[in-house]
Amino acid sequence: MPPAADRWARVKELFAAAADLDPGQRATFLELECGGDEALRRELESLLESDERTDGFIEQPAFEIPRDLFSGEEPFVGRQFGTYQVIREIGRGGLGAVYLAARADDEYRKEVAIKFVRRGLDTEDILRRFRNERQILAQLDHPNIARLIDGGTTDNGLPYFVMEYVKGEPIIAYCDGHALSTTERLKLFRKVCAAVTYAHQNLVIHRDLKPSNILVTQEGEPKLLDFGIAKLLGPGDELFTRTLPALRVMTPEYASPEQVKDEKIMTTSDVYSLGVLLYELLTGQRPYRLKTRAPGEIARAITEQEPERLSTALLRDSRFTVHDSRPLRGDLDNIVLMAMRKEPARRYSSVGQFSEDIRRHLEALPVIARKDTVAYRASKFVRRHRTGVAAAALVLLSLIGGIVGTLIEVRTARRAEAKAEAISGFLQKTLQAPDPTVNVGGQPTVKGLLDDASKRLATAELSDQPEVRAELQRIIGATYLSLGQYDPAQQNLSAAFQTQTRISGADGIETLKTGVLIASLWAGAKGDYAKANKFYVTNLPRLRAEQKKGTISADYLGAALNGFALLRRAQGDSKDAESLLREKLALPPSVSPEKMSGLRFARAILALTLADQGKFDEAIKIVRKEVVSLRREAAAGSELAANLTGLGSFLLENGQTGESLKNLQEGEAIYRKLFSAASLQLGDSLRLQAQASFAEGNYSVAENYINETLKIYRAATSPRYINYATALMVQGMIYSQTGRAAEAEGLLREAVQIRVENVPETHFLRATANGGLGEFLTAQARFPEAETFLLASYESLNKSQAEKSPRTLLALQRLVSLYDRWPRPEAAIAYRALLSKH
Amino acid sequence: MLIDWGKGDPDAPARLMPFVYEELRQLARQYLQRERSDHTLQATGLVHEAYLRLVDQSTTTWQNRAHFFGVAAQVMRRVLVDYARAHRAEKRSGGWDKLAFDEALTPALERGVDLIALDDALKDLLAIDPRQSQIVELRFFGGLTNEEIGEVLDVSPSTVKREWRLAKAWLRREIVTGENDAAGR
Repeated sequence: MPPAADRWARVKELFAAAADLDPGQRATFLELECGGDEALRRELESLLESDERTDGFIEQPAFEIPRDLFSGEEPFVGRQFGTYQVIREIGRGGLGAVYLAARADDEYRKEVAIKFVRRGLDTEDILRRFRNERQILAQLDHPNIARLIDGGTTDNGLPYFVMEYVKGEPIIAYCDGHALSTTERLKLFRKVCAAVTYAHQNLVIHRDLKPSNILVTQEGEPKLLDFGIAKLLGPGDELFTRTLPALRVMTPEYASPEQVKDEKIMTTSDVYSLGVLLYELLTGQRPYRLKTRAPGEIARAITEQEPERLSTALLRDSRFTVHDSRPLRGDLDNIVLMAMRKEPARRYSSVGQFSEDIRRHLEALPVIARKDTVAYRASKFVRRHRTGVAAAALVLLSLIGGIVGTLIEVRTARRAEAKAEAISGFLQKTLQAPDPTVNVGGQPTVKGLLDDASKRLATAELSDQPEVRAELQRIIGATYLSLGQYDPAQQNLSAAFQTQTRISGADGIETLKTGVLIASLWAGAKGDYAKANKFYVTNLPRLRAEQKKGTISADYLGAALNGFALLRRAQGDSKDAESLLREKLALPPSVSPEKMSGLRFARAILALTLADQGKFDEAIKIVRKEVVSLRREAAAGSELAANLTGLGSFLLENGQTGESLKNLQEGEAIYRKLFSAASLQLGDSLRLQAQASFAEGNYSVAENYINETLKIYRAATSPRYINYATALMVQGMIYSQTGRAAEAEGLLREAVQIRVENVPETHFLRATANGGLGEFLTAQARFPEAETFLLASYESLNKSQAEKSPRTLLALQRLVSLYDRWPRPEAAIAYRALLSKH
Repeated sequence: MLIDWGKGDPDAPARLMPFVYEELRQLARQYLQRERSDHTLQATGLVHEAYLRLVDQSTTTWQNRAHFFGVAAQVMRRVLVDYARAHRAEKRSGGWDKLAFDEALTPALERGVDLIALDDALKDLLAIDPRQSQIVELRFFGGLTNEEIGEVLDVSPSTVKREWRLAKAWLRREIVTGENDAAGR
């Protein structure tokens, strides 16, 4: 220890000991301890003297932090953000200010609202969330929802959101101003519910429903603002705006108990907020009687206090006079209080159900809502279901809704009816099961729900009704299939198949139907082409006959035709595939969602067969149309994602990489939202993004994508999966460009080998694999070998591809650069001439 | 939240910022309960600025709770001392009425603390005893209690108390001596 530090340590030791002594004893103590060290003694004495006189010195912290933290706002008026010029301020809230703005280009003076997020909120996080969510939010296209148009940051890094500008009054002011009757209020409220339901179906929870976010236009149409914005602004924000007195413009009373407690937020949280809104619409009062408006008091009321019944609240405030004679007692009391229950699971399970109950009330039908009795509280139902139904349930319902729907259609026979009831009972249980719908991150997962259901079926449930159980397993298997979860799909389908074989024989209709689904699994993800081929060749004639007789629906024949077309395409016969698809598309049209999606699938494969032949323009046209129509139907599901991904792949091969990436990423976001596990669909999307990034020269980005792709492929499928070899090729090309020639060659040769083993010689996929290897060999100056592969590639494509296919073009370019480098000038000239014809 | 990010959640620092802010605000509430409220509005600019400085540093990754509170206290110290210096400069040039932050410093100034002298003395203390200097910073500029400081520095509250007592005595002596020296000249 250096002398100074040594000395300081001694000072500390003696000071601590002396400080606790009576002043009288200190002198003796210091005398003793310091010995002859006068300097040490003086040091201690002066410190002890100072200690006695500190008297509050720096005892209180240096400053105060005021309540009103941020008052100054940047001047936005007159400035331009993106293509929008700010005109004037139109509102101000806890999270920032809102301005009216218009597009700066004159011809198109569309007015918008721009919301600037207040400085101090976590900019980067908001933007990251915004990037993740923007596609989903931008897709919310509903007449009663104000659209999110765009977003960005100012030069100073403040995030802002551009939204549809809505001219209107907050809903309560509107109702009071127009003296709407109770019935009119309820009808208006149901429109709000419809909009919220729509958003829930698109997996967006509002999280901040309150009167100021619901404007009513002059035409009397409600418009919901800020959908999903609360989520973008982050989990902490609601909490601290609620507790920031200066920002009390925000009304915290609309927050649900789970929001106050910082627990999982679900669609039922919006049910709660809507309940509060309806309470206020009908009584002119907020539901809780508060002595102060301290944040803690409000939080406590929300989580503990039972709201007064509407009828009681009205008695207290006679100034609220707008109501007609319809009494608020009874149904409406029960309806509102049911929506506002503290436990999410005991509210209406969806906004739709809430709204439906209001409709029943309006039509004087019995309502679902019951008085919240002790008996009710104690019921088994309540104890079992603590978390309620999340958005995932809606997804699942929409996926299987078609199937259940057809079951209900055919419930003419008693037996069918009993079956339908058993099924819907099971589904209800599934949807209300505790928690599988929501994972830790608060993201609903359909898979969790299905896993729970399939586990219950695999063990004991419905074992006394094997037919019903098999049918449910088929439904669940089909749902897994559409979610890209192939192993559980196969498990459920196989279990159903076995039961059905046992009950109705290998030739039974039910067995056949399940067989169709298994075959499509073989033809697709599992890559079991031989088995699939055998199934289709054997059963297609029978399926056609049964469909004609009406014993089997066109859906199953369609699914088989689709699957066979997929298979034929994989085997390199796009012509045959095309004719199967045309047969499929000629099947009787239908409006059920399930069948619609079958048609869509067929059109998608048709686009693929066109793309196989290099007719990308045509393929792109079909898929673009599909995307538009899916968006119009507000389908944010796997179908939209599949179409976006398909579109991305066609654009990519057509050389439109930028646009390709945009579509791929939008698809990826949906896949990630819908599927919790790494699905094959996600793998395909990532592979295509790797290709697009590679084409743009972003090798490191491309490498990350392709690594993730291969991880998914290896976990989810076999090397025979049609895109596996492509992924190897992409990785090989990346390695080749980044100086890892030996590894690159291994990958590219493996890709070629897989193609040789799995696709016919004439298939374009073999040609593209040869082309990739040939390009690599050119770069390695192994010209003669390169020539073999490149010529094989070009000649094959020249036969299989349509005129001016970009694939043929690429093959020619590769030949030209080979001959340039070799050099073989005459050959180069010859192929240049061919190239120029393109 | 704080614990999460200690475990290496890569997103935690970004998610943390609103909570950092929340912490600061809670500190503010505590102070307000003890103090008159009439000078709070004028202090807006001060704390606003303090928080912004903190946010600007959010690009650097907080390693742990101690790291954050250390930085928070440092930021507050820097802000306060900067303003005190500006205040003095303005005062000399006769324009100090313009200073909105003036009142924000009033509580400290009323208690006879010369922030600039304290800042200088703290620098000297840092050379002799870094931990004591840190304790003063966390307590006086960060508003932490002895218990919290103990948690942050991973020492017992009684150690904090002992160190704080000596540091306070030492700092006061340095400041008083400095003033006397200046007066004697």
